Amino acid sequence: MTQLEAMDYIAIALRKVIKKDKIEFSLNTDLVLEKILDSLDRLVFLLELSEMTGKEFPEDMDIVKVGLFKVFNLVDYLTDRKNISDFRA
Amino acid sequence: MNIRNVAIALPANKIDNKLIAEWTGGDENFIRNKIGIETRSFLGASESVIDLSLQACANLFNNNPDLDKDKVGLLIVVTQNPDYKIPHSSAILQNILSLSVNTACFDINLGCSGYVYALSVAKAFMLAENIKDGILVTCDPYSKVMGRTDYDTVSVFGDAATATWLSAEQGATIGYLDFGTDGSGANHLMVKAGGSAYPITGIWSENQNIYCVDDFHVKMNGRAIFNFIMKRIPGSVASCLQKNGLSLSDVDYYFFHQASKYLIENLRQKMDLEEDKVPIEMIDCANTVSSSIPIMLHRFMLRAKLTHKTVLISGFGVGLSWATNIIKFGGE
Repeated sequence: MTQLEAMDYIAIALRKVIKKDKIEFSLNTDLVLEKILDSLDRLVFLLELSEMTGKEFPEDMDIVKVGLFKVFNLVDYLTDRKNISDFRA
Repeated sequence: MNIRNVAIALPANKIDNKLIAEWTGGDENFIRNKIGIETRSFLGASESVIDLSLQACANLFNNNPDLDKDKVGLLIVVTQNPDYKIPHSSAILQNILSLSVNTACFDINLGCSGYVYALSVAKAFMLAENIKDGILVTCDPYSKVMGRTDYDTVSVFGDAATATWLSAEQGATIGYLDFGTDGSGANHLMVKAGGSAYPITGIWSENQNIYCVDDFHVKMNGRAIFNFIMKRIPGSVASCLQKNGLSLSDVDYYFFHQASKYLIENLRQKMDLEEDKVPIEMIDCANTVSSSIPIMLHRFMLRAKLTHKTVLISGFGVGLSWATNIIKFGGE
């Protein structure tokens, strides 16, 4: 998956959750800190993203704490630049 | 075997979102608008499962003069938070209710899927033993096992008891059950200490710091539970419909376990169900575990909304466990 494709998947998942046609975000966006996703919307967002891409977000992992709601981290994971274990560390 | 009537009891002790916000630092508006809860009831310090179950049973007997105590042949209590580890709650309740000593009494240790499972257990037992009348009680007071600062649980759960009159003669029919278990997720909704693996006696007698107080509190991995429900329940609904020879459009109401408004709305959207067929009834009582579905049945029966209706009921949670069935109401 390319960086562009990863950004597209993120945009699709965000649109499903937020239910707005246009959501602005960039590689530097933090989806939690910038209050784009609340604690419940995060659940749907991760499930949607996982179902679309086949990438797992381990259920025992605190996704906020490991920084996977920062778009550049998320893109790195979706594009296989980083493994999930890189974030555990 | 049929559901003749349902009664409920909620504790008098009301807990509003303001207090939850004080305890947890959570946002009152978020709890109201997204989780879908304005207030919930917690048992008082001196109140117990038996007390609340007794109230529900008293309401059932008061509202149904035809229900003869002497003819009740089965009493089931669904709970995972009984008053005592030994004996079972149904035995205590049988005595207080002055039911016949010939009443079969047992508890079912299940959480949010418990009511749906128990209906089928009761149906099979009553048919096998030719029992004409039975009572199914649910009461699982999570307030007794929730840490007051744990937002994930204390904002969501409330206490309640229900009592369902099951009758061989008339009432809404209970269909064929779809059920399942995925024990690989058992740790996602758990009270770790207090059972045989981590017994209370170990703490007092050995005086070792092997547990913390938190181990006695229920812990919930919200994301794992959410994923489980979104992945499993649409399939269970489809399977249940098939077993009962029905299609989605044959169902008038889908009574899902009232886990949270957000979850139910997402489940409804995923299954492409009409909004008015998927009611949400938790704003005043929260997620009451195994009591949530019978509370819906009670309220919709009171509003005379279930005459000649087909209702799908689906419970899911602790275990991880799920159960789905069809209840068909006639004209009574």
